[in-house]
This record gives sequence, C-alpha cells and structure tokens, in this order.
Amino acid sequence: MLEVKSLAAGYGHLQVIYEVSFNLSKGEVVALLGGNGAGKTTTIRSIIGVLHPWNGEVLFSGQPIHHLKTSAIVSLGLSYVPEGKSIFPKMTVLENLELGVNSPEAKTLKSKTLKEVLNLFPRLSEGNKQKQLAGTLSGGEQRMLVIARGLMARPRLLLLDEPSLGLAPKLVRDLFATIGKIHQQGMSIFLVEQNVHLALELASRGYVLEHGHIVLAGKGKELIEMEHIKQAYLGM
Amino acid sequence: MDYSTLFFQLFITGIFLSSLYILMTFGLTLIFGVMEIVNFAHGSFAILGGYACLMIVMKLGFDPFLALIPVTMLMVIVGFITFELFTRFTFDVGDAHVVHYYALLLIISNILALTFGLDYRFIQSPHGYEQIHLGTFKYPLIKIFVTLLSLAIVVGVSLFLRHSMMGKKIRAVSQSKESAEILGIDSLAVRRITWVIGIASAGLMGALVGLVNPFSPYAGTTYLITAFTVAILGGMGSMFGTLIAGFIVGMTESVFSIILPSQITQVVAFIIIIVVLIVRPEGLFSRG
Repeated sequence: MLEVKSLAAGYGHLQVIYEVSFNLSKGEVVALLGGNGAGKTTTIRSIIGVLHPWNGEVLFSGQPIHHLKTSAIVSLGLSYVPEGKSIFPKMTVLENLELGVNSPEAKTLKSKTLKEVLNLFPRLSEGNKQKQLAGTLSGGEQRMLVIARGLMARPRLLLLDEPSLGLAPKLVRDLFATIGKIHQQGMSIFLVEQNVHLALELASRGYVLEHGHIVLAGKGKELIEMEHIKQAYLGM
Repeated sequence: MDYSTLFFQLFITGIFLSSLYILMTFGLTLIFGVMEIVNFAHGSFAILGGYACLMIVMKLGFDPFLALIPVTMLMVIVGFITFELFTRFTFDVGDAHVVHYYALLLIISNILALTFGLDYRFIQSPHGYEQIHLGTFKYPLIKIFVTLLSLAIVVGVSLFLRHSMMGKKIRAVSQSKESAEILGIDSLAVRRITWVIGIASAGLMGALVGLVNPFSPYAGTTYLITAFTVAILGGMGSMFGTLIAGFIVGMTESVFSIILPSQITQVVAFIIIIVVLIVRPEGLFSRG
C-alpha cells in the first residue's frame, strides 16, 4: 500500500534523512521508532508532502505521490495526524472535525463518519463539548480531537506522529487502546513513536531510525527482544 | 435643538461613521489575518470602486444603488486578476511586501489620475437631497441607505465566514496555515478567495463613500489611514476587534464633532488608540 524508496529530505542545506526505505501493506500497523532528532517527523512530513523530498520515491497503491501537493495526497486517502496540538483553538470542536472533511467521499459520508468518530472518542461528544472552543479542551482531549479530525477524512492510511507526546501515562494507554480499535476496524496505520514498548505492542512490524538512517527492521516482537532496542530505548 | 434630538443626531451620525469605518477596515483586516499582508493598496482599490460606480451611473444611466451590483462583479474580477498577476508572487518576500503594496497603491492611483484627472468627483444620486423627518430630527436619507448597506455587507460577509465551509477554511488558514494544509485544504485557493472578498469589499466601500463624500484618485490614502486606525485599535487580523474598534472610532468622532473642529476630532480617535495600545499593545482583540 505504501512504499518508500531511498527517501532523502531535510531543511535548507541540512540533510536529515538518508536513503530511507520501508513499506506497509494494507491493514497493517507499521511503527517507525527512534529518539529525538532521528528524522522520524521529517520522514512522515516528506510522505504527506509538507516537505518536498530531495531524492527517492513515495508510492501509494503503486502511484508515485512524492511530487504531489499535500491536498492532492490527502485526496488519495492518506491522513496525517501531526505531533503536538495542531488544532484550531478559536474554532469549536465540531468545526475542527468538519475541517477534516475534504475529499468527495468524505463529504458524502460526513454524518456517518462523525457518528463513528464520536463513538471512538466519546469524550468529544460529552455534554456541550462539540460547541466548545477547541483551545479550551484539556491536552489529552486536544490529542483526541486531532486524531478524530484525521479520521473524518475517511483515510485508507493513517499517519500518526507521536500520539503519546506530552500525555500522562493513563491517557497514553487509553489513546493506544483507541488506536488499537481503529486498527481492528481495518485501518492501515503508520505510527511514528518514541514510546517503543507501546508502539511495538500495537505494530506488526517496525523500523528503527537513527541519525536519519534505518538501522534495524523486523517484526514487533523480534525488535523488542533485540539487545540494541533494549539498551537504547527501553533502558534495560 | 433639544438634548434628546441632539443625542439622537449624534448617535445616528456615529452609527453612519462606524458602519463606513468597519466596512473600510473589514477587507484590510481579513487579508492581513489570513495572508499576513499589509495591503497598502487597500484604499486605492476603494477609490477604483468609487470611479467604477461613477462611470456606471454616468455612462450607463444606472441608479447608484443598483450600480453596486456591477461594481461588485467588476471588483471580483479585479480581485482575481490582481491575485494572479501580483499578490501570489508576494507571499515569500517577508516584510518587503509592504513596499510592493505601496507601489501598487501608487500604480492604481496614478492610472486613475491619468484616466479621470485630479478633480474631486461625486456620485450623484436621485435620493441625494431627500431627508427623513422624525419630529425635529432631520437626517439625509442617502446616509441611512449607505449605513444600512454597509452593515448588511459586513453582516453578510461575517455570516459567510462563520457558517459556510469556505468561511471555516478561511478562519482555519488564519489560525494555522500548516495545520490547514495537512488536512488537504488548498491554502492558495483559500488565500485567493480571501483576497477577492477583501478587494470587493474595498470597492463597495469606495462606491458607498462616493455617494456621500467627494473623492479623487489620491483619496485612497485617507481611507487607508482610517482603516489602519481601526485595524490597529481592534487588533490586526481580528474581525470582531474591527467591529468594536470601528464603533468606538465612529462614535468618538461623532460625539466630539459638536465641541471640536472636524480636523481635531480624528486626533481624539488617535489619542484613544495611543492609550489602548499602551495598555494592550496587540490591540483590543487578538486575531482569529
């Protein structure tokens, strides 16, 4: 479904990722792991077209997308959920969700999708919350809103960038349980994450990125048993 | 004139001035909020709208209020053309864009001066001398029309921004262009529509002001100063701030017009701005 071949990208004259290659099949959860500054976010932003790759190819369902604008990539069925709280703080929760609806298919099925998404994130529909300004939500609720907004596009592939970032451990566990539910409903997910343990519990396969290079790849359970992973990421 | 009539007169004049100032600033602050462009040419687009209305009335014999329909259509076309030929090339030049837009102000003003001369012009209306009478209170009917139309345009555009999907996209881009783009929102298309709305509202304002005040090719600078005054007081980029600040400036000018010469009344508005900006440097309201 997603094939990344020898991807190189960076900012200005600074190259951040080198010859990054990986793939993801339909219905799979694949994790990209690595520490701060490894190039995880650069990789995901190059896939969605926010950053233009310097070199290499990105294919989605066999179609090259690395030369397309973000709006065109999103209309093909990719949805990017960025790290942090990229909500529109002065718009309501419902307006934030509506802004995720941009493809013709998503527009047709808007009401149905909204119901499904609010079932996954019931906290966003409690009381009068849909009419509440998004900037007044708690940190955890804002993360939920960003993921829910990504789902409103009815994507075929969800790109999640560090969903656990800055959240309390209890919220992280709840959020990963919800991501698990989204996957069980058939969604393909590319997960960029620093929390190696949680990511590899969910992902069938993983890649480890260090200093812009893929240094390890394997099945989730295999990776978690590797000595390098234990020492570098799990503190064991 | 008794006090109640005087109070009513000041209130109606204040509303008249406020509605024009709000409309004058609306497009300027919308464009700044979404595109971060300080459009120095805003006033010259207003004058262009004034001349367009004048020509449609004089050459085609339209009623001035009916002429606002073709003026709007013309200004929409002007908006699209200037966006494609000029505006879209100024996104990546940083603060230097101010010079580009000042140059655009000069270009439009000079073209108008070469075409129409430097004399002040006035859009004659068949309703120009009619007055409404309420007891001892008298007020020009045309000013009532202009006030109502200005407010209707502002309310209409505000409802569009609040409730339409394109309006929501415009507000989203004004809050975070990158967050909007990653959702698949075409920010270039949003900025194009924003520019066209801003230019059309400027042109309409110019036509409406032309019905009650004379104008010349270089009068755009005066409009621009008033629009900046309101925009800075309200908080650059804040639509709600524009409404409140336009009301404050209009009412202040109206009230002080009975005790101060007209040249001084604008100074009072500037004093209010200085005081507000000392307390709140970002203006009364922030963008969004």
